[in-house]
Amino acid sequence: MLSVTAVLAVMALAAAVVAVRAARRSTSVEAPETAPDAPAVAPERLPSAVLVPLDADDRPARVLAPRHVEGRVVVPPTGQQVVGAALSRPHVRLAILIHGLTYALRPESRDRITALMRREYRRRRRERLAAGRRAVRTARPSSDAWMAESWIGELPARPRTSTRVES
Amino acid sequence: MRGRTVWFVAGTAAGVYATAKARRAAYRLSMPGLVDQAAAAGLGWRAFAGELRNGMTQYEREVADRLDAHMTTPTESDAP
Repeated sequence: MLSVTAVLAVMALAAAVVAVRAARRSTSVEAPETAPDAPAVAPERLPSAVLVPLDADDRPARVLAPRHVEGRVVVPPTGQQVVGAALSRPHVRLAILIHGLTYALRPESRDRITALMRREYRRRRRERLAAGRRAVRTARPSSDAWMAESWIGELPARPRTSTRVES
Repeated sequence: MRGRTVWFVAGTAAGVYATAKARRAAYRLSMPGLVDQAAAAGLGWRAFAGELRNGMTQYEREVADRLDAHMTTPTESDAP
């Protein structure tokens, strides 16, 4: 069983190597073909032009015409459809999520968030303590009010209970 | 005399420090403190989610731009 697995692994590795080589070869062959797009006219003879940056919406979309392939009409997707399909692939979504996580966990972002949390906690604590102190102050009369009602050395007034019974 | 003063000041400072720390720890473990910590954690979570969304949007735009540039680049097959 183990030997079969080993043979399969070696075959898969060899297939992968062959595929990578073929892909490299095809790209190296295609690369020089795209190069000769350079203008045949000398650069100094070209008319002067002003470069204007194009927005994504102004860029001319490359629309391919529908073709008949083996009796079927094949409609090539638009660029937006291709981009949307590529962005909705699971590993692209995962890469986007990982990039978002790394972006959110950058040191500066992390410090900003922790400082935000600490400030919020301290602000709420300060407000709560201030509200508690205010509540205590309103529930208990202040020393000035007490001073106005009585003189120094006087004991607070006690409720007097009269034991005399008037007849 | 000087040594006693030093020890007195050090003891007073340590007492004040320990009292403040103990009061804060007690507040943190009380119900209002737990509520405040939960509120702060909620705020932090919202900020983190915002950062995460920003990063994801940025990367999505990068990928889309890269794909768009690749799509709009004229190839040899498109040449008339």
